[in-house]
Amino acid sequence: MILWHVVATGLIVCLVVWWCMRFTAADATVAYPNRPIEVVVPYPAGGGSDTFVRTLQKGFLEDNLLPQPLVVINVAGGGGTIGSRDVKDAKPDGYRILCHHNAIISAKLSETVDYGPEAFEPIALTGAMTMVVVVREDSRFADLQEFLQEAKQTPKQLTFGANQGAPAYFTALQLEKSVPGAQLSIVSADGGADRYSRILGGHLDAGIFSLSEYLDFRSADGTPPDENIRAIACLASKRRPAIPDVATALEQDIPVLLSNANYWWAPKGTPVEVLQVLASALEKAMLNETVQSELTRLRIDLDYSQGEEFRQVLAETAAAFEGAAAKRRSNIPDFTNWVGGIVVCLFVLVVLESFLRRGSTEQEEPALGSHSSTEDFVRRPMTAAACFGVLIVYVYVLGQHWLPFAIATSLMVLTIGGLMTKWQRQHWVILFQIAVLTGMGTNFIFTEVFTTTLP
Amino acid sequence: MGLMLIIVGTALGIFVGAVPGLTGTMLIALILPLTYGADPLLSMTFLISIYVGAVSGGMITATLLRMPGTPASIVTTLDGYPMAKQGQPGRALGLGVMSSFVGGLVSWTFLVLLTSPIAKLSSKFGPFEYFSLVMMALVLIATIGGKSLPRSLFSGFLGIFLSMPGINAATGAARLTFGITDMNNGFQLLPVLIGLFAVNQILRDIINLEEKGNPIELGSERVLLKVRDFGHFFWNLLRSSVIGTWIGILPGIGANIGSVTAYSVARSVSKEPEKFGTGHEHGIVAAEAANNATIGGALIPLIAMGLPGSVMEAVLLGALVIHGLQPGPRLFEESPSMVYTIMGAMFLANIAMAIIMLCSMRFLAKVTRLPRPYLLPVILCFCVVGSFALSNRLFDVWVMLGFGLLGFLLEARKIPLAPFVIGFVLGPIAEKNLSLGLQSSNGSFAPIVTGKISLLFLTVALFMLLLPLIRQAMSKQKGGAA
Repeated sequence: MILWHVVATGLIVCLVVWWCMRFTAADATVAYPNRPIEVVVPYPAGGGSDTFVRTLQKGFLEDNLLPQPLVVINVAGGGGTIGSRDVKDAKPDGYRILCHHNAIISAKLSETVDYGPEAFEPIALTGAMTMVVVVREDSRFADLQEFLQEAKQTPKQLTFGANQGAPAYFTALQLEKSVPGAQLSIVSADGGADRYSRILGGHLDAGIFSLSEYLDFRSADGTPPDENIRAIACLASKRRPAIPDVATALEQDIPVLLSNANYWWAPKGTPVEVLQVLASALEKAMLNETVQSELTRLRIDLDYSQGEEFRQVLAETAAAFEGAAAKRRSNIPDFTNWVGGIVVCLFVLVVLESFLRRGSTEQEEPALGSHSSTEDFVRRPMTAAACFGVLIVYVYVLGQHWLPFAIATSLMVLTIGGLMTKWQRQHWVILFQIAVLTGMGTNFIFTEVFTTTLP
Repeated sequence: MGLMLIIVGTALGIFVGAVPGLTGTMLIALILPLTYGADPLLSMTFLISIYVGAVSGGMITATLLRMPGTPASIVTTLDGYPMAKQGQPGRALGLGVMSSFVGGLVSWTFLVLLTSPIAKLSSKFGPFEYFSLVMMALVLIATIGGKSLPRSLFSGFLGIFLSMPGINAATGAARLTFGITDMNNGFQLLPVLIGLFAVNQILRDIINLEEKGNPIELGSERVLLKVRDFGHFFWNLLRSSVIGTWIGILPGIGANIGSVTAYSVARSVSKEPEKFGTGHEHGIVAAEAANNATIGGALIPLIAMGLPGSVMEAVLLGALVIHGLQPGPRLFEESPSMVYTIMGAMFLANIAMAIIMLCSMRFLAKVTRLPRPYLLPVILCFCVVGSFALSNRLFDVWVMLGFGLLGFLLEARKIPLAPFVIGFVLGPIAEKNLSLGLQSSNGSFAPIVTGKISLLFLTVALFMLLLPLIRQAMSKQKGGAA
């Protein structure tokens, strides 16, 4: 017990010192940036966008491009729209920016969200990825033109993997438009791995891959032809050195281009000076040697543009997507009604059943974890309700930023612990120690060890 | 160096696996950036060890507190917690550790011997095959965790229904969001799970706070199992491990379903199915053997074809890519050392897991004996931070609280929670595959019954659904005759 008190007090002192030091470190009088810049990646950690941003982050660190570090924050979900909305609604001070690709244009066109690139200040374009159209090695199509011609003769028979609403979907629509009368059966497929396995399994006739996905998934020559893939068109303006034999779509008389670049955005209203600081830092990062070699290995082209040039690229891509935008085609019934209906029916059944059971003399079996005998202890539902109430207030306070995380958490632990011990005096010291340790400790672990943010 | 990383990684994995609110996925994703500069072989060794530890660690809190630390250990709560309450926590944990160990080794054998032939097989599965496979797993809902068929089904379908809000994977359209943009991402599994199990259980514990003494104490009883036990559980271990491995192979199905399937199969073939759910040893064995076996299974398509089977695998895939290696058909040729490192790490991590768990068991059991007023608020804090850290959104924390209340109410009305979670996890997979199938068949449902594999799964599903009814009818007949 004494050991516990010594260790706990020691830890508390250390943590409090660390916590106070964080406050003195920040100096708001220095010019932008005077605190870490949060880069929102709207996809999960480990994915393509995440890898890209973290590669650049390395360049920032190596060349000391900004006085403050970049912090990568993954706000994944909703096809990238959760993260993009987060930055759109952020304070326009340059401390929370977004790295997002063409999906920012397609999300608006497919009506997933009601804002597009115009809701942001564009900072710069960094790194672009060539896209290719891929079939199985033993496919009867020698090139993209043949594929689309067959799609014209037998409409809706050929399956093409592209997620509805994603950039690849608009490209698929553009491909259809380039050969009048051609109609593909567009099947959702997210992720190169998913498309790859379904092409091999014969469940997709073709799909769009990024160049690096294609080169990674393609097996060595001599693999049985039904276990390998082959590119039939390259959606770039000229052939790529890595795949010199693959003709571009333009060469095949199909005027479709798709390159997936990473765009950097700041919330609308961010000062021009701040945008300029960020853009020039990004430009320098793209020139860093480590960054260049890493990106080359990932087969990302080292493109960079800002200002007018960047806006031009955006406008062109948006125009191409808009031209292809058609009414959403769907032959999928609305499953929500089915499941909702079943839930309601079963609910009625459950109610009926418990009603019947109550009528019969049959004793109900006690549920797991509950006890049939109540004599040996008193149940305290009110305490539980009070604790839940404290929890709700705690989360609300965190959401409103009324108190720093460490203090709010300590108070929460103290209050709930107190409620549970009925505020008996002998628990106070330990509860207080636990509260401070939990509050400060989680704050330390998450900000220092895991370098994430806290509410 | 490698060995030390395995021990540290496994221990860390067990820790995050055991704490509700922290998951292996989160740890791997957070540690990933730290490994950028490190040697790729060592980084992978470390990450695989975390993976193995995390899937195993969940069983500790599932057994001792009825708060599954990870989704994979939900089924373990069904028999582990009752057994612990009956005064045999040591035996329950010992069984769990042993089964995890055997499950891991069996699937490791598959991984080493059969990686490339098996991986090829999985690409033969089209959307309709996946759909009927998932339907089969969904039907298992009806057979686990409850005495009343309508209640289990209701819980399962409610789970499916609540997995539906958000952006539809197949059409890209948002639905059931009621105009709340935060809902575009739907309810995430982690906050839902923490809410349903951890928050719900904490509320329950607070209500029953003054219960005399703490029921769970690890006495001087034997934790290590006797050789005789291995013989006793031999078939169950083997069957559950093989089921776990095969389910692990199928991308997107994951450890949760492996343990559910193995558990229901064990119950179906058991001579005393009524004992399952009351602290039956076979239940723990089946669940734990299977969920660890899914690791080896899931690594098969990852290594052979570059197909991640779960979120955790997707992060591992990302880790390989960051280190300049693309798992897939060419990994064997381009860097065989990486393939053997992954295999070796999994083998050693399994041994490390068993040793660490057995050694730390007494200490862990002590943690759960801490006075509840000290323990519960700290766990609550982890629940909040864990839900938030998932995608840095406070919305997820509200979701967690909401589902905590829902779980509490459902259990108060004696509606089992396990089917809810299974429905919640499997519903979207079933729907996505059905939608994809319909997209490529132009809206025709026919391929579900014309495809051989999918017809087989559906028949099995139907059989499983009818089995309890047939059994009931038969026992009634017998009772009537006697």
